[in-house]
Amino acid sequence: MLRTTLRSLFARKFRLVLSALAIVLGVGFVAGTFILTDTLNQTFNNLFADIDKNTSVQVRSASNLPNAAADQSTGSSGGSGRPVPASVLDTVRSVPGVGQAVGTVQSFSVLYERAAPTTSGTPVQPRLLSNDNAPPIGVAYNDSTLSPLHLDSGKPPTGPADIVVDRGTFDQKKLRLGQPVSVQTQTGLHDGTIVGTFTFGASNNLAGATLVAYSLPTAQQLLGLPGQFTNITIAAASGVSQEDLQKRIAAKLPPGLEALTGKQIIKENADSLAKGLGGFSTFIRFFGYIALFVGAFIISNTFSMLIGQRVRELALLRAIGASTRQIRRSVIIEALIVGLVGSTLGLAFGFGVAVLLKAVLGAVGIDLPASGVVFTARTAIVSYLIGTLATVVAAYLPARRAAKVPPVAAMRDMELTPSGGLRNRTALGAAFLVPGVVLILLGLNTITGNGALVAVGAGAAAVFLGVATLSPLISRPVLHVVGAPFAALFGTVGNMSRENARRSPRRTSATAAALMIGLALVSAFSVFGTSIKSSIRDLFGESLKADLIVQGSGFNQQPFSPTVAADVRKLPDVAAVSQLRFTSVDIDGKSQNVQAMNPEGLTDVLNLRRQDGRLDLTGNNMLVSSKVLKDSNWKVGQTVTIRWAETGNTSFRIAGTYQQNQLAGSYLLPLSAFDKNVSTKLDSIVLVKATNGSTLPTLRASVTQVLTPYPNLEVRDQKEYVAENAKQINQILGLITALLAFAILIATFGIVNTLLLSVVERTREIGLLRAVGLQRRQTRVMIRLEAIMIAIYGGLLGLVVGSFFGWALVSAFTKNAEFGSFHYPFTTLIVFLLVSALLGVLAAIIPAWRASRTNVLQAIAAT
Amino acid sequence: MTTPSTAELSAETGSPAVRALNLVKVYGTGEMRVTALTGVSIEFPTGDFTAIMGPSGSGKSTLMHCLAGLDSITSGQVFLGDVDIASLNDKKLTSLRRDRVGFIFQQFNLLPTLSARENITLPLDIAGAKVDKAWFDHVVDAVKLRDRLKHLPSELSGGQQQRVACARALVTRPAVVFADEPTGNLDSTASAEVLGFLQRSVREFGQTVVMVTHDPLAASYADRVVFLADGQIVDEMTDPTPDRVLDRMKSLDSGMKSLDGGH
Repeated sequence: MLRTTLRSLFARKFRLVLSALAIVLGVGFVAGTFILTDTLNQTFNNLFADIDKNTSVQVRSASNLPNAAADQSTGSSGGSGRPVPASVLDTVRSVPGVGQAVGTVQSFSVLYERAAPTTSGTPVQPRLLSNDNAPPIGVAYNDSTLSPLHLDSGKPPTGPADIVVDRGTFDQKKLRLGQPVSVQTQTGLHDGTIVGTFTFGASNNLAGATLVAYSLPTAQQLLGLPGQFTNITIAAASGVSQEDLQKRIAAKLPPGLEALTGKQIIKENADSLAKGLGGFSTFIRFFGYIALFVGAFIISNTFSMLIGQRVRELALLRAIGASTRQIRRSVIIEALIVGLVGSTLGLAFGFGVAVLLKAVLGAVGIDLPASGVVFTARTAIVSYLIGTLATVVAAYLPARRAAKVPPVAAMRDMELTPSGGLRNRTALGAAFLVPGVVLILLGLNTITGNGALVAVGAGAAAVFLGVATLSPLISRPVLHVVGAPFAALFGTVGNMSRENARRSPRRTSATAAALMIGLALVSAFSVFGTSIKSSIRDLFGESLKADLIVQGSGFNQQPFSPTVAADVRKLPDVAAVSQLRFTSVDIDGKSQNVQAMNPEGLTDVLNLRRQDGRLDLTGNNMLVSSKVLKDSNWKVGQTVTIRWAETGNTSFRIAGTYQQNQLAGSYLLPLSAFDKNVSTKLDSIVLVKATNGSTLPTLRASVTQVLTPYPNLEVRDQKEYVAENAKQINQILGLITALLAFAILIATFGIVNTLLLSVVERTREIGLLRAVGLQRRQTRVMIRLEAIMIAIYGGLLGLVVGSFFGWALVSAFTKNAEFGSFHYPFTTLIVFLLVSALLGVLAAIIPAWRASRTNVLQAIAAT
Repeated sequence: MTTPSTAELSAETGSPAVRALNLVKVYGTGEMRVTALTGVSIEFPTGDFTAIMGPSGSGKSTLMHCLAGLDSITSGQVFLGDVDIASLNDKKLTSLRRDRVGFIFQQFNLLPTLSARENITLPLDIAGAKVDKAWFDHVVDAVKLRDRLKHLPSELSGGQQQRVACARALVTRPAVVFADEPTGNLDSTASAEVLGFLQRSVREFGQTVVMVTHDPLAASYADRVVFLADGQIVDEMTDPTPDRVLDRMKSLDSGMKSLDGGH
């Protein structure tokens, strides 16, 4: 039996290659993301292990928050971010077993070229040298073995103007020793000169982030840490273990400080970076699963068709004594082999995907040190498991049908009658569809956390299965309508295409269903994105009163020095300036994002609509959105305790509430509260309101001029700000669409597959048509139109399902965010339908060619 | 379709509808080389019903395929009217088949997705030509399919299906109708209907019909029977009767056997 299976497998290799391609792409995606994650993890583990290879113990201030997130804005990970007093260094040095102890300083530091003054006196925007897609880091240079910085040219920084930069930036920006540069730190702008370069651990810099180093006193002064350290790193004397030393030091530390072993630090650093990148890779992997799901449809369909063509062969096997079980098993084994081969090729393809994704990361500014690709057993096991499982599950129903072929079919020309009646199909479809819809709505509206994601995913899969099950019931009437314009335009040829598309509803439906999935997801995100964009347009405008919005340039919009706000505030055209800062705190034991703003001019820069109390952000007041007040069961005037990472608990009084505002967020605190409780004093956004006498162009001109020395900033008016936010949504939508394109590509292979098999089945018909005078060109048109109709049908199903998904997403989002409304992107969706038709044209190329080459005589002679 | 049919035109000029000159057909090369037709020259007069007969392997089907432009010829010439079909490219040849040749095959004559009416007008529809209503009605009535026009092939009997094929072959008023064992799959009643119709199309419409058959009874409907053996025309018979045809065939078969024995 196995030999028969293998024989029939090889006899149909082309079709199986096409269906295996679906598995290859899906598995490739999944494997690629695993390989990437593993490679990145190892890369960073190595990198951080190298950086801290001599660190036995590190002392830093402890966070008051459980599970404190790493502070990406300063590049430091773990701890509270509060500086360590210089005196602690002496305490640590007195602990027996300490070989060497160094105070490190690390903070925000943007590097740029110092512009030569022009003769005309008009300031020139200096060239930004830091990578503005990564946090710009400044540190104190020291040449101890504890430092990951190794000077590789020039001299170490000693004087107040001496600056050394990382080798990566130095080479990439083509800098030279002695070059005049400026830095922007928390304390403002400072001029200096490049005196040397260094490597960082084993690489040129930290994953693409620009590093600058100063002498210790300069660093402390420039970075706003006079007489303080970010942390203290310690090397143990020989013979003292990390754990022992850690215990000894911890015993001597003043309260609020903690000691960690080098191993812990390395793990913490690596974990925090890997977590961020892992999220990216999980996101991509999700599309791999979608591709596999789509692939399963194609495989199921291919197997169904192949079995349909093999009825006589199967019946003969049955007639000579093969049991139903043997037949079923032979089909399953066939699927197993296809799955294994597909998974193997998919793994190979995954390597390519991993390399490609690494390049994508590099393109967005995350430069990774060169290292070998990491291939773990887990990757192989998961890839083979999902690839083979998807194939076997997809082939199960066709296998069952194959087993039902009666032996008598060997003697008769017999078509496989579809199993199950109309009512069964309706019931089965509903059994998928209804729970699917319920799961999606529950996942979006009721369930929280990871469960929500699972519910929505499972719900979407069930909806797809449901629609695919019900589709054969509606495909004939729908295709009649879809085909009408083609029948009218192309006459008999169009009509024959339409009838061909309609003649086997199951096959057409399965083929169209694969395309439906891709298009449903694309259109769902399109509906969602369009709705959010429209809402942003409506609501950001309503939320803002400020004329200008200042933000960091670059993809991540890094925060910037508070001197920016100070400089702008001095301008005569300016009526109000407000600085926005963000941080995470615990409120009622839950982590919340809070926002600080200047109390003065608050209602001048924001269109804050008061709900209750007073919009007074002075002293120990806080403001919350009316939704937060309601959800937390608070009252205006009551006191709320906020727990800060650095300083612990502080009480605030709710002075008033406001209606949902896009820029105010949920919790508003006075800037002074942040100044007291957060060491990092960087602004994320600065809002500027013009005086009554000024105009936007004059204000803009003067603000732009005063911000000339800050090349890492973008100044936008309200319109541009809204457009920028819309642009970001477009970018995300673009990425998602690009990733879903793989699923759509697989679906297109499915159409190719179906048409090829149909052309083979209809050889005699095509031969007859050619005999009675159908031109080759007309034959191609006939196949092409059929493909277009199937593709449009799939597209239509996708748009309907996608519109529902989109609506569900928007309504859940609207309910949660208290903003947004449903906007339907008609034009985009029509474009999607046209794209579907185009895919049909592409899919038809080979089948149409094949059909037009049908040998008339052989076709007629075939019996 | 308001112009006179090709058949009528040919009748006026008196030239044959189809003519083959030294037609040679060879399949394969080297050891696999098989000569199916060894220089056949034959004319099919306009308005004549010719049956081609011969034992299996005699080349009768090959001859028909070459005459109809379905198969390429190795050497010699085939004229359909005045057109040398060997000189035509696929596009022109397809158009020629569509406009000037009618086909009736042994089986699988109809597209399952099209109704009887659509199957009948298929060559015209493909060409984008208008259906001559009067002629269509005439043909449909002649094959007695008036009440079956809306049916799909699967809803018709075998005889009805072949009659639809006959109507399709005639609807374009072709120069010639080629029928390849048109009754091979039919019972005697249905066969008689189809053959009677072909005979009438010759008598009443002046149609030229060339039919390949191995059935002496079917051949007896023709005006002339051409006998083929070993890729050559060996005999010809006018006003055939089933008995005479059968006798001739028997002698051909024994001739073949003695030839085989002579190897």
